[in-house]
Amino acid sequence: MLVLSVTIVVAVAWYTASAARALFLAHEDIEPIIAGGDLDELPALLRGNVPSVTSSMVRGTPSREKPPRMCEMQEDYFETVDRGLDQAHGYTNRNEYVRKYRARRGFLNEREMRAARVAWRYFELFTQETTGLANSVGNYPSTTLWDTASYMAAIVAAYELCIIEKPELDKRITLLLTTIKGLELFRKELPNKVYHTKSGAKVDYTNKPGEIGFSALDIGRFLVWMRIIKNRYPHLGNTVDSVLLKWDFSNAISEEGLLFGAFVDAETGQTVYAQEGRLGYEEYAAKGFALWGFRPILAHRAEPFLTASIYDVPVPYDGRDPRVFHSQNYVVTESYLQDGLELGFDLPHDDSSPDWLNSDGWRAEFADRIYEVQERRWRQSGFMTARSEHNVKGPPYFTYDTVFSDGYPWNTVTPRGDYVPDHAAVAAKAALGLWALWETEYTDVLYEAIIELYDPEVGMYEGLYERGQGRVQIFTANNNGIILTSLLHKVQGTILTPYTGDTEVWYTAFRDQDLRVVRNYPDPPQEEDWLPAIRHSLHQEVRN
Amino acid sequence: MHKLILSTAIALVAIAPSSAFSQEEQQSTQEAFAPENAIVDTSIPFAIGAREARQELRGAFGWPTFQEGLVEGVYFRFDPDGYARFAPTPRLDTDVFEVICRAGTLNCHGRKGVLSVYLNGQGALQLQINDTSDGDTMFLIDGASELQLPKRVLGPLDERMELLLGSGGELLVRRGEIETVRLSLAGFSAVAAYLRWITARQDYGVLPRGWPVPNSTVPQSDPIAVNWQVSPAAQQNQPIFERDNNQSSSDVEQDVAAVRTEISELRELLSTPAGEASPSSTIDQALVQQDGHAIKQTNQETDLQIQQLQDTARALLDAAESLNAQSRTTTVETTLMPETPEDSPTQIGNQLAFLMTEFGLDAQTALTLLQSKDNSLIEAGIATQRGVEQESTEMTEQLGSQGGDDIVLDIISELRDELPDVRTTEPKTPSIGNLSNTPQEYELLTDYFLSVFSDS
Repeated sequence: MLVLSVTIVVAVAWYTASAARALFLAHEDIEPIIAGGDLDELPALLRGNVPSVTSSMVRGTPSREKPPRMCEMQEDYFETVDRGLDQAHGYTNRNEYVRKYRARRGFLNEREMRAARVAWRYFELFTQETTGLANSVGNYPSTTLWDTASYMAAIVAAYELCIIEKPELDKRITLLLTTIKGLELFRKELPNKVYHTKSGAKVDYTNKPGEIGFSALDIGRFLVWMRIIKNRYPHLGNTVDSVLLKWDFSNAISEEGLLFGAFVDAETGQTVYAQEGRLGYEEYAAKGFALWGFRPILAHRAEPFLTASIYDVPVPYDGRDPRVFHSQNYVVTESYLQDGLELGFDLPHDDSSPDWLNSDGWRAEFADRIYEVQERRWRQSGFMTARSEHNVKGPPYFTYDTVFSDGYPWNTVTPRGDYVPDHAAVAAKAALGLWALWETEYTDVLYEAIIELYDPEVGMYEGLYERGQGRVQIFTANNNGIILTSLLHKVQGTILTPYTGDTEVWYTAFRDQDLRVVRNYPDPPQEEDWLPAIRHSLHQEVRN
Repeated sequence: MHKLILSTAIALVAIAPSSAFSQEEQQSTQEAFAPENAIVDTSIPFAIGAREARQELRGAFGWPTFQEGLVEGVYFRFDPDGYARFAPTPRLDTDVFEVICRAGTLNCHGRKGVLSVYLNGQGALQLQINDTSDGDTMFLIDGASELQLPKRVLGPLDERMELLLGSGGELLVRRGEIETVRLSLAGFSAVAAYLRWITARQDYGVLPRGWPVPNSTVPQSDPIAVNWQVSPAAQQNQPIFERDNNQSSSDVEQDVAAVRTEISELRELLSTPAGEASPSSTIDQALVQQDGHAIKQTNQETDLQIQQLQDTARALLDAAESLNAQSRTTTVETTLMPETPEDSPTQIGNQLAFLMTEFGLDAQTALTLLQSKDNSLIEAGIATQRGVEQESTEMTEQLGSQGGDDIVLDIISELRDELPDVRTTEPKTPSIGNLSNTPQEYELLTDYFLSVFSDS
């Protein structure tokens, strides 16, 4: 009897255990969560470990490689460069664009090397030993991040063109970035618009101690060159990251993806944040932010834009009414040149397309129009035309020498809007930039006008007055930096090279704190974070 | 306090040699934007509607703000260092009057082509025309007519001459029969006002009468401050009403001065479009609002009467001109063209100048008025200028005998009936000196003319 009872109890226990096991085993049908997989809610602490997703990863295509320095290139180097000469121009299914024109490629000749050395001479003369900052204009000891980026461009070009060697490259970049890391920021957010180059103090527009605000456009250009340096020279990566990890981006870019600058309200002293950037500059700066994982979706869009027909070329300009937004919509060459030279008219995630295929299609197509209208002006009026913003000697000191602004073609205006046609000039940086990116008969003429426009002891002149007043006798960091970039582009093509590491301090730092959230530091961009490749309906109509 | 600042500014201008202007282009970039070179506060509007704006600076230096606006038919922009441009087009691209200030000082000058204009050491406006010689003759051109300018146009300008040049037109310089200079005077009056304004450290008190200054910044304790303040030098150079020892002519001049005051009121009315408030009328309006709706109604009636009176005033212009001619007989010398004989063209020129300076008419309007007026009135004016004393009855008859003047007299008569009795009606609108425009004043003016004529 006892045995029977024990048997029954064991049987019940066994049944219960079997049922429970069966119930437990029934859950094994659930798809297991793999760490880092799609279903894994990745802990914030580990998000930075995910690599940034680029086009080469997604499409399985080889990424581009950093070209060798000019002095290390084989003699037949350019015989193997794919220039896409057999490709018809137009858009692809991915909204990439093949331009009508090709960029110049090849070794620099003697004249070009002389121009490069003279341009570098500017930075030898006007870089401050104490801070490593270079003056924006001649011996005037102040600078902006925009012009500092031009200095960084000059350092990279000088090294890659074998004008300087690695010790000087490292010395200059390290000193510069160490200074920038230590700069007193505008209200603990981002770098002030202007700094004194000797003291590194933040200053106002009169170069006296004070603060102005920050410029999203200047910061955007600076971010482009920080990314170029980091990708090209991984040994400087931590130095680069440490600079940006001091900054607070929480007010510089909105959730919608617009860029915001800041200024001080004169009456209240409060910080005022205002959308910054117009068609041309805005998208270039946006791509600078996107190279660091931000999502400036709206800033990268061309809309709202309009076109003005000049010599039958539909020149695009920003559609935001200056009377409403109190911001002018200058159409100049510069921002398109910088996009083409530095970024190859590519989207920030594109690390694999050849130079002749521009993944940020509409930017390349718009740039072609900006070129064409200037060539047509030369052909139909005789005026050599390479328009950009440029400094001038004496009042008004700075002009927007535009293709189009305020409703007028070929409008040369001061920062307050006065029409000053006497200051119209062939800007040296624009001329050589056009020469580098558009290999045409017209840019050959521009080249002849500009390539010897220098003072061998000081640098390249700012330009050549259109109305025959001679040279624009002023020397600037921006002009000389862009000229060096243009010359480097002839040798190496697109300046931005792919990042070769797996992860970055920029994405992993401060994961154990809330600083990343407070300062709006992004996570490594994934495919869904990419800026979209778009084309505009107008393009289609124009082509047809 | 304002006077002290003004005196200091004038002293500074006197000390600084004008020849130093060429140096500003030589200054370095560092000096150009130094804080001490900011002599103008761009947040203080030069005229109603002007606004301060931020400069679109991409570079590392520059002035962060500027001011832009529209006044006296010209657009303008100026920077904190005083550099300004005035032009008839919003792009400030053609026919530009530039004002340039010597760095860090209030020593400024305007320039357009060969013409320079600046305030001299005594604070009077002075012209300088490059490449002129002693034999050159200068003319003011307005359409088809030419008005020869005296040599002293290149000396310190008196108020009349300044107003004449400020009325627009073109300045023409001839060497013999050859035209050597021709340039537009558009913007002249605005530049003159601007030079005075910045020299007085943006004190509205130095701006011309009727200048559209913001109401909020008019010194409340001194409503007259918006009126023209003639510089000492200009006052010294105002011989038009210089007196001789003739007692009878002195009486006439007093009358003329009184009439001028009244006329200036009418001139304001004529030059102010309906619905647009002048500074003085703005002040009136504010005061009227305090007294409520009843006063508003009275003002509406007044507006209607003002409209009718404007018609009357136009008719009275002719009469006033005759009166002016009478007053000129008591003047030691004519001021406009003292070197020229008293021939007929000169007299017409005088009359033209009188209409322009005293009534604020532009040259073309004044010329049209002269050309269209009745010949009998011209004769009467000439006769008066020759010193023939007219009996008051004759004057009245003369007025009455002019074609169409019967209608004017009828209108005056009607108006007199419609307007309230000055002697019995207390003014409802608070008075602020001669800035208020009440019906009583217009009634008084009409009668005043008659009384002046009858007294003389």
